[in-house]
Amino acid sequence: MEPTDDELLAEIGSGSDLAFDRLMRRYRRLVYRVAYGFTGDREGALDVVQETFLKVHTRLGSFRGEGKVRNWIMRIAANEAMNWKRSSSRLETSELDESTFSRSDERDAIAERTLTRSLAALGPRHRLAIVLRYYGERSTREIAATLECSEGTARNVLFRGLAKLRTMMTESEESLR
Amino acid sequence: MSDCSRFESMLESYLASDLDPRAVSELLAHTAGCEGCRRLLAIHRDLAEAGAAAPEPDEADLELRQERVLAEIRRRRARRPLRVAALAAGIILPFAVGLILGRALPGRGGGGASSRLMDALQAEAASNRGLTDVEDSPFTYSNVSYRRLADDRVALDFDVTTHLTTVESTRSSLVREVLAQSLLNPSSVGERLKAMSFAASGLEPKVERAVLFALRRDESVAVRLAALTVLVGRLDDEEVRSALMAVLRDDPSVQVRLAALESLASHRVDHRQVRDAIRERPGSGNEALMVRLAEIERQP
Repeated sequence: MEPTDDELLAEIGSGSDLAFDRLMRRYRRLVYRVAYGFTGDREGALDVVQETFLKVHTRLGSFRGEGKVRNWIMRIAANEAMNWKRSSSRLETSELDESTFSRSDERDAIAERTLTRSLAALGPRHRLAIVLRYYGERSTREIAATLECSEGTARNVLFRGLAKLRTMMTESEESLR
Repeated sequence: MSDCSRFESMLESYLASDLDPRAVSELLAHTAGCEGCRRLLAIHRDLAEAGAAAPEPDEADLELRQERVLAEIRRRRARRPLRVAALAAGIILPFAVGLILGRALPGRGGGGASSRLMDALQAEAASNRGLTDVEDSPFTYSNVSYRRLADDRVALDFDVTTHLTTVESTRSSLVREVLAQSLLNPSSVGERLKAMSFAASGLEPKVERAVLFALRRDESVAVRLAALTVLVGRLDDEEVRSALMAVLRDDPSVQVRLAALESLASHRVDHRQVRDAIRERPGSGNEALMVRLAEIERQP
């Protein structure tokens, strides 16, 4: 039977690299997806995966056991992804990962680019909620647990985030006219 | 968009994939005639498509990153005992030799071990630049006390393998190292508060980073409030200002958020930004913050 996250944490605390290997294997794809939602860059997302797990290992002693390990890892991943964005100007349009714009239609590509830019301009809380929903494919309950708020609040944060995106995208389109 | 407020909670539920089919039909009928809500649903669909189209990572890339993480963990683990052993060899061995010589040769002083330990502490403190280095340090300071002296000096008193007392310049690496480590010390709120009150008298980058860390992460409201007090004089610094905005937005304590509000509002920070930060996190406490902001704005 697969050990639970808490069991793995206890083993990691006793110095087991094997347990940490298993924990990383369990969450690395999810961390990657969330990181990609923030960075829009494949290599950047991989950098964030690496930094996230290093931080997780360093801070194991400070994990208070409140809430799930997965949500704690998601919060660290979001912080690392935002640090990555702050420390780089890599999300300039010209350098965006080509795969972000996989559609051939140019108008669609511009709309998608506007969406990515507006998403990057959102506040961290709204952005995290949206990234967790659409890139991490998390439920409202999981988003609430990661944001450390009630489900009602998480739902509202998500809605407000989208409403802000709508405002920003409308302004952006109007400025192009 | 006159009818939109009625559909707001339906939209929230729809976005949360939590709306029954009849309500979905009603919502879609509304969006057919409402540009704003239609646009919101279009963004929802675009995001869902973007999320689905996000490239999956290669298994080999993930494997490589994972190996790097494990290698770094092993490297850190190996470095720690080596550093401790090297320091021990440099300190304890001469101490033991000195003690033996001192006993064998009456009249000759066997001291110097404390000064060697102090040299090692100074060297370690000077080489530790980031907070990670401070956390990784083989020396752990406890029972720290600071007493300010004349001429910009401080009497520093602490335990580190043994009890030491020294007088240093307030700008010495050792004072900064002990301060930074005390601010990060998870075991004692008292020690963190003591360090915070001393840090207030002069911040340099390493200590400032530790204060910022405490402001964002410390479990104790008292320590976070003390960190705010320390940083209030540094609001011209962009990083400090954005840390205070983050506190105003995210701190779980209304008391700490109010203190951040007072500092920001009294420091020529754009009140619209302050208002947006308060509103960004819906929840109890916002009302008190908005009332206080209105009071501040009414003040001449």
